[in-house]
This record gives sequence, structure tokens and C-alpha cells, in this order.
Amino acid sequence: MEIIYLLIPITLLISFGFLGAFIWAVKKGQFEDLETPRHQILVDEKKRHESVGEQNKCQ
Amino acid sequence: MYSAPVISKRLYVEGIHCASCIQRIESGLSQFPGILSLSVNLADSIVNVRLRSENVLPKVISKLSSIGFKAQPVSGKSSIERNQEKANRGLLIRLGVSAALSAQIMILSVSLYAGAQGGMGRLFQWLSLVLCLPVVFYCAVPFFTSAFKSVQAKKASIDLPIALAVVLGFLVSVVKHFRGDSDSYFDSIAMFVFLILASRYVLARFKQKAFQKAKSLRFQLPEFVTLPSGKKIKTDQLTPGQEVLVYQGEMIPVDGKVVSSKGLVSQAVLTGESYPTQVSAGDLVYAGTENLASSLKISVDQPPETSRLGKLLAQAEGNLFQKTPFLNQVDRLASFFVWAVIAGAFLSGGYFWIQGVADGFDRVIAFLIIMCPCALALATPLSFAISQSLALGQQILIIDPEVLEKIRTIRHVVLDKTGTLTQGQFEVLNWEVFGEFSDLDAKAIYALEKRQFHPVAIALKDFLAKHYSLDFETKAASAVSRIPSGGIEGDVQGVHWQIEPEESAQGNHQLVVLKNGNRKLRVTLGDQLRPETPHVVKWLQSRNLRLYLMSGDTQAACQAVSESVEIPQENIYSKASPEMKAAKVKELSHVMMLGDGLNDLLALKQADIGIATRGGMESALMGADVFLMGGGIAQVQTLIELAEDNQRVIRRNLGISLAYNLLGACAAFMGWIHPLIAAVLMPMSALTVFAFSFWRK
Repeated sequence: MEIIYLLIPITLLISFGFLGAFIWAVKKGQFEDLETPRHQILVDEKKRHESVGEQNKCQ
Repeated sequence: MYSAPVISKRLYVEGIHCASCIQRIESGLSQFPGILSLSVNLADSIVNVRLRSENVLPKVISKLSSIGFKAQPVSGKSSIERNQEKANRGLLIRLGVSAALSAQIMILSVSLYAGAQGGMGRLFQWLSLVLCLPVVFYCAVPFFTSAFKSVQAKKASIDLPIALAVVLGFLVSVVKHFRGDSDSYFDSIAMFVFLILASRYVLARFKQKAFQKAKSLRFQLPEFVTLPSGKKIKTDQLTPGQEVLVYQGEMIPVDGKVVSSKGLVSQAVLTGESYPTQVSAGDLVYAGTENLASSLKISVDQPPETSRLGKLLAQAEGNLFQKTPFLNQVDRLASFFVWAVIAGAFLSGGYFWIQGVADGFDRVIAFLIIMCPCALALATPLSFAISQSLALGQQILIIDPEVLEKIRTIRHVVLDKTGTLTQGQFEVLNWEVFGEFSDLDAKAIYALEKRQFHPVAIALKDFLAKHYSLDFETKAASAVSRIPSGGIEGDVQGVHWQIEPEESAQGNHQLVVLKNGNRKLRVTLGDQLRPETPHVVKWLQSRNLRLYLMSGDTQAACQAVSESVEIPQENIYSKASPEMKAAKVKELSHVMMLGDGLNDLLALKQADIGIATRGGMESALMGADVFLMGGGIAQVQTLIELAEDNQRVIRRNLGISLAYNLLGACAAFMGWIHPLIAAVLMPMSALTVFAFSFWRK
């Protein structure tokens, strides 16, 4: 059971690591706009760099 | 090295709906010279751009318009928005910290419950204490300040028992810890704080989202205006008496008087009136209206902030998410409940002490925790917020949330015809061709009407675009002028065209089109019934609501409508002036009025519930309680169903939380519930009630 004494600091480290990442993300404003990114994933990466002026109607 | 300053601009862009819009904007602007970076915010319809210089901005706007988006620069975030953003982030970090720590404490507690003893058990207890410190002294601080303020104001907020439970629970745990007791409440406190913060965050986000949507609806006034000298200055630098020049198609930025000649102004945004108004020198025009015809010179009376529109917007922002009488009642009930709980806790504490009950303190803490009326006080506003947000998703803007409460008392429903039962816009009903009519002819008429914004012209153009191929180039129309009778004439590629109104029998609009003096077309235009109208009217009648039709339109037009929707004859009022409508609405009680935001404003104000079906949001906000952005009667059904769901949810929540609190109080008093179990049960009850708030059918 001595392994527990090692596991506890490890779990603490991991969880504080993620907590730090979370706080960083909040401060960077990652949670401000939860709407756009889910659409953005559908945007074709290649097409993004082509300069197109198509007039397709969107719905 | 000198580096040019980067300019950040926010553009309000109309009509971003989906991924393909984002793609079009991003691809259209990605290679644009002068743009350093851009990001699209779909929720707010805002495109943020970072530019190399101010001069790039007009080019960006015209580029956006060339790919089909109308963009306007707007000012940066207001201080209110920035504060809100800061508060959100603070709450989210507190939530994250409490989540991480309570999860850690839980791991330790489970081991303790499973029987961790000796050195390891002691270590786990110490760790729990240490991990609980930030939860109490950082995450729970907002509850302490709010509780303290409420006590200062001699009111009991629900944060008071939360704060008391956290503080007492923590103190007792610390005492127990140092006395060497194995059981402490650190895990429960942490979990409790986390769950309460989570519910607060959800509530705050829901409200803000609805608020933001409401704000993005309002259009933005132009940031720059042109002076008669041709110089452009910022709109907020204008002073009364100054003159500004507004070109055709531009929005009028101020309240003021027309100085130069004649013009045509669309007040649609402000009042909802689709028919343009003729203005001449000396006439008042208002900020937010659109100049349709020739350039106007306007002398400023009121700069944007103090304009009619500016004042309305300020008022509208004050109106949103005010507390309804019902919510105030719930607040008072919760406040009373809180005092009762605290009194009960102290009385029973004294009783246990006199009687010498060994676990008296445990019972008091269990009582305090389990009696927190969170379900009562938070779930009800949450349910309102969810309803308002769901409504917004359906294009229904609930300005006064009390509507959700009042709607069940409604007995009479007064309907306006135009725009409510009908489409509210002209459509081509009949298209009669004399002889041959080619695509070339269609294109010619289109060219002639191109710069016309009259509702009839718009209907005509829509029809042409739908039924004829207009994809080839022709010369623009020349020598276009208005005919005194109300029509228009002009030359297209050497052919003279005239479009003239003609007398018609059924009250519809009729036009004849003449090509070099020969009849080519007869067009009948009218306002058609919405396809869903008969169905919704039946639905309303099936709910024992008495329906009335009040319209300013002719009797013939009202009769035509009433035939297809079965409203009793005695309840139809044709040629009703706005004052008549208001008087009639006043006679009835428990009445809901549906009408357009302009003509029916008086009646909408008079009604118990006023629903604006169309027109500008600004005008609707003055008198209406609800604004149907999608327009039309179908949304009324959605609104009523939403309100009923809301009622059901609130009643269910109140029932659950009261039953739960009563049972909990007895059990805690009798000592059947350990504080630990209470602290687990309490968030469980809140969670149940929250889940029930989202679960709607």
C-alpha cells in the first residue's frame, strides 16, 4: 500500500495541471463564444485559403 | 523600429447564420490586403478585424457587401459588457477550482469511508482539510459577501443559509479534525459549493445569452456621417444645429429636420411601417430610418444617444429581465423560508443543548444544509430564463417575462389582420400577359424598378426574379421618372416602358405595364393569408379563447379573411382606427392583443398581453410585452405552449422542493440524517429540480 503515498502527489499534480490549463483557457476567452467553433469545424481548410466570391445562398 | 499601430474594429454583419456564411466571410477576406487577422462571432453576428490602418475599413465593408453581407462598424464593447465578461470568467474559474478540489477530496473521502486508518487515514484527513481551504476561502466568497450584504439590508437572501452552512460545517469539521474525529464534512462542503456554483453559472449564462440575442437584433447606427462639405466625422461628435448629408440608401443617423427639397424615407425599422413616407423641407426625420430616394440634407435636432431611437434602446435594456411580480413573490417566500430555517436551527439547537442531546450540533447542521431553499429560489428564475431562451430560439422575444405567468388567465384574443393573419407584404396574385413577353422584357421591367423600394416594386421584382431568367447584362434604365398617377416610366435600350396603377374591384392593387404605349401585362398584387392561419385559429378556439378580428382595412378585405378562418361576424371590426381598437380592447378583460408595432401600439399597451407581430423592434418595445420576430400567428401557439410548460415546470419544482424540505426537516430534527448525508441530499435535490427545469414535456 506504500504506492498510495506516491500516487497521491501524482493525482494532485495531474489534477492541478488540468486546473491550470482550464484557468488559462478561461482567461484566454476560450469559453466566450461556444457557437461559432462548432460551425467552423465544417469549414473546409483548403477552401478557406482560396479567395472565392461565390454568391451561394445559405440557409 | 517603428511599427504601424494596429487598428481593431468590430463589424456588425447582417445575415450570418451558418458554417457556409463563416466560410464565405473568411475566404472572402483572408487574402485581403490590409487585414492582419479576423474572427467571426456567429452568436453576436460580429466580425472582429485587425487592420493595418483606418483606411482599409471602407474597403473591407464594400468587399463584404460584394459577397453578400451588409456590414456596419460598431463601437467597442461597452463597460457593462466588459464587466459581465469579467464576472463570467471569475465565476467560471471558481467553478473549475471547486470542481477539481471537490473531486480530489471525494477520492480521499471514499478511502476514509472504506476504512482507511492509522497514518494513512490521518494523512487523508489533513489533505482533505488543506484542499478544502481554497474552496471555502476562494470559491465560496461570493456567497459570504452576498449573505453579508443581505443581512446589512435586513433581508434574508438564500445565500445566507448557504454561507452559514459552509462556515459552520467548516468550523465544526476543523474542530473535529483537531480532536481526532475521523468524520468531517470537508467533502460535503466542497461538493456543495461546486454544485451551487454550477447552478449559478448555468443561470447566469442563460440569462446573458438571451440578453445578447435581444441586443444583436437591434441595429446599429452608422458610426460616421457626411457633412455637406463632404467631410466625414464621427456620429457622436455631432451637435444640434449642424447639418449632415444622407445619401440614397443610407440610414439617417440623427433626429432632425429636413433642410433640402423632397425625399422618401422608410420608417420600417422604427415603426414597422413598410410604406415609405414622403418628406419635404421642415419635416422631422428620425434616427434609424432609411433614406430611399435622393440625398437629404438634415439639420440635427438630437444626436444619436438622445434621439427617439436612442432613448427607446436605453429603455429596452432596462426592461429586459426585470423581476416579475411572481418572481418577487417567490423571492419573498424564499426570504421568509430562510428566516424560518435560521430561527428553527437556533431554537432546535437550544432545545438539544438543554436536553443534552449528544449529537445536537450534527442535527442543527444537517437541518441548515438540508433546508436551504435553493430549489425554490433558483429553479423558478431558471425556469423563466429557460423559457425565455427557448422562446428566443423560436424567434419570440419575451420583453416582459410576466407574460409567461399571465397567459393562462387570457380569455379574449384580439387579432389584427395585416401581418398577423396575412403575410403582411404584397405578392403577385395574378400575372396576365398580353401577346408575347420575353426574358428580355422581364429584364427591362426589372431594370426600370431596380432603384424603387416601394412594397409593390419589391413584390414585382421578386416575381420577375423567380419566374424569368434575368442572368444577362442589359443597359440600365434611363430617364426614369414618376408618373403623377403613382406609377413609373423610363427607357430601357430604346424602348419606352410605363408601369401604371389601375382601378381594381376587390381592393387589391392592380398594375398595367405598357411597352411603347401597348399593353403588355396586367398584374394583380395583394396580401395573402398565411398558410398556417386557419389551423392556428382553430387551435386557439379549441382552447375556449374568444377571437376578435380588428383591422383598419375595408369590410370586404376583412370578410374575405373571416371566410377562411371562421371568426364570428359580430367579432369582426373593420375600418377600426387605432383609437377604436384601444377602446375595444379596454372594454374586454383578460385580453391578449396581436398587432403590428406601429398602428396598434395603443391597443397593445391597453391589452393585458400585447404581442407585436411585425414592425421594428424599437416600436414594439414601447408597448408590447412580446415581439414575434418571425411574425405571424403560428408563433402564438408556440408561446402559449411554452408558457404552459413553464407553469408546469414551476409547479412541479415547488412541489418537489417543499415536500423534500418538509421531510428533510423532520428527518434532520429527529437525528436520522447525518450532516454528511444532508450535504449530499441537498445538492441532489437541487439537481433534481434543475433537471426537471430542463425536462419540458
